[in-house]
Amino acid sequence: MARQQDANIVNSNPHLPGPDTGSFQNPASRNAILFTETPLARRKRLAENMAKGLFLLMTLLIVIPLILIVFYLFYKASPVLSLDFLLTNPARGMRAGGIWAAFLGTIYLVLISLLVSAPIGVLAAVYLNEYARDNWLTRIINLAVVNLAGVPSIVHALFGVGAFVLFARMGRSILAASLTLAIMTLPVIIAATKEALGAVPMAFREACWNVGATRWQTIRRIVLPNSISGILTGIILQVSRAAGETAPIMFTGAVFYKAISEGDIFAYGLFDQCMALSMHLFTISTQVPNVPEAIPYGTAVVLLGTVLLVNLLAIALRVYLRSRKKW
Amino acid sequence: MGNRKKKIEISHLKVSYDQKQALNDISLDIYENEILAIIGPAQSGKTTLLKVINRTIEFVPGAKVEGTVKIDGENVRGMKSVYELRRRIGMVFPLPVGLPLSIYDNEVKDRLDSLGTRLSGGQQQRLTIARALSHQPEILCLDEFSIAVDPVTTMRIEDVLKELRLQITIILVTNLVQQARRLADRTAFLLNGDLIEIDSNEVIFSGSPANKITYDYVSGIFG
Repeated sequence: MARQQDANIVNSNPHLPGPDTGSFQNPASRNAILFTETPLARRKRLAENMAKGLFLLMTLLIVIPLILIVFYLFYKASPVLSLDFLLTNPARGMRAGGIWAAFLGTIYLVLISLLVSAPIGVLAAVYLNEYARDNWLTRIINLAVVNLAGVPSIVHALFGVGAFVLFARMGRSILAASLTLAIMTLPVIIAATKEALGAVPMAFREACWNVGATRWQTIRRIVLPNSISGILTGIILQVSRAAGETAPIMFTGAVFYKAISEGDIFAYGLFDQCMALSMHLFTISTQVPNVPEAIPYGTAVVLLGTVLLVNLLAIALRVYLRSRKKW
Repeated sequence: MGNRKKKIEISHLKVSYDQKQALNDISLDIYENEILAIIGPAQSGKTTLLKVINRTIEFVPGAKVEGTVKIDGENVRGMKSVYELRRRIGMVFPLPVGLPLSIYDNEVKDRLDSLGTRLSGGQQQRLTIARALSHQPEILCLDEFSIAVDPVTTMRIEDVLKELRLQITIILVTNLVQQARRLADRTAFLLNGDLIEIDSNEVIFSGSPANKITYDYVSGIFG
C-alpha cells in the first residue's frame, strides 16, 4: 500500500515527466530536468552573489584610499625626493635641505624600543600562556596587560617623563624616549604573542609531555617553532606604531632641531636628544612658516616608506617561516 | 595469578576536577606482562586513571588527587624525576598526534624526512605507538587507540600488542568490549568513577560476572 502511494507521489510531481512520455529512456533530458534551478535555489544564488558583491565593495573601499594616499604623497613629494633629501640635515630654518637627523632618530628610537619590548613581551607572554596557573594573580596581570594596551599615548608620555627623564635621571634622551615607546608597545606584543601561542593545539603539548618532555623542551621544540610567525607579526606591527607616535617622544627625548654629522649612522648616542620623523613632520607642518610644500610630503613619504619596508621584510620572513611550518 | 609480580598498585585513588568527582576510591593491581583492559562508558574515569599513572594529571588545571599509585613498589608522586617516570610509560591517545616534527624527530625510522603530520590517520597512530615505544617503556598505556584507525591496521596493531605483552605491561582503555575480550588477560569495568568489577576475562566474559551491571555492559544490554 505504502509503495503504491509513493508511486503516486512521483507521478504527480510536475517536474518529472510521467512514465508514459518515455523520456526516462533518455538520460540527457532526465538530467536536464533534475538539475533545473528551483525557485529556492535561485533565491539562494542571488543572495550569495549579493553578499559576495557587498564584501568585495567593502574590501575595495579599504584599498582605494590607501592607493590614493600613497600616490598623492608621492606626487606632492616628487620635487624633493632624492637620496640627498634622505642624507642631509635640514637647512635654513627647516625650509630647505633634507631630513637625515630625523630619519636616523626614528630608526634609533624604533630599534631600541623594540630591543627592549620584544624580548620582555615575548617572554612574559610565554610565561602567562605556558606556565602560569589560572588564579586571581594571573587574571589581574592579564587584565592589566589589556588595559595598558588601551592607555592613550600621551599618558605614556607623561609616565615616561616621570619615570625615565626625572626619576631615573636619564634626562631627555634617546634612551628615555625609547623606553617610553617600549612601555607603550609592550602590552600589544604580549597580547599578540599570547594569541599566537594559544593557536598551537593543546594536543601537541600533551603528546610532548607524554613522552617525558619538560615544559621548556615542549616550548622550545613544539610551541615556539609553530607560533613564531604570529609572534613576529605582533612585533613588526609595533614598528609602525613606534615610528608614527609623536606624543610619547615629544617630552622624553625628541627635539625640534638638532644637526648631526651627515651620513654617519652612529651620529647619535644613547643620552643624546634626537630628531624624529613624526615630530619633524608635525613641526614643519604647523610651527614653521613658509616651508616649501614638498618637504613635509617628502618627510611623510620617507616615514611611510620606512614602515612599509619593515613590513615587507616581516612578510618575507613570515613567508619563509611558514614554508617551513609543519602542520 | 596470585604469585605474579605486581607492576602497578593503585590504592584508594580519588581524583576530582574542581567540583566534579572523576574517580571514587579506586584500588586495583596490575601485574607484570599482562594486558589489562579498562572498559566503561564515556565519563567513567578511564582516561583520568591513565593520566594519574604518568602524572600528566598535573597539567590539568583544578585536578586534585588522593590515594597512591605505586610502580614497582615506588610511589609515583614521590619520584624525583617526573620526566623519567613518563619515559618509563608509553602513552597512546585516541586521536593520533603526529607532532609537527620530521618523522625522524618523532623518533621512528622510515620516510625519515617527511613530516609527521603529513601521514594518514592510521599511519599517524602507528607512528605515535612507535614513538611511545621508542623509549623502551616498561608500561604501555593505550587510550582507545583504534578510533581513528581502519580495521585492518587495528588487527595488525593488536597482533603487535600480543607480542609486546611478553616484554612489557599493557593497559588498554577501550570502548570496544570485543577488543577487550580479544586482547586482555583481565578486564576492569569502570562506571561513573567507580570500579565496578575487575577479574580475569574468563570471568568477565563468561556470562556470569559478579556484578549484573557488568554482564549488562559486556553483553551490550546497557551502555
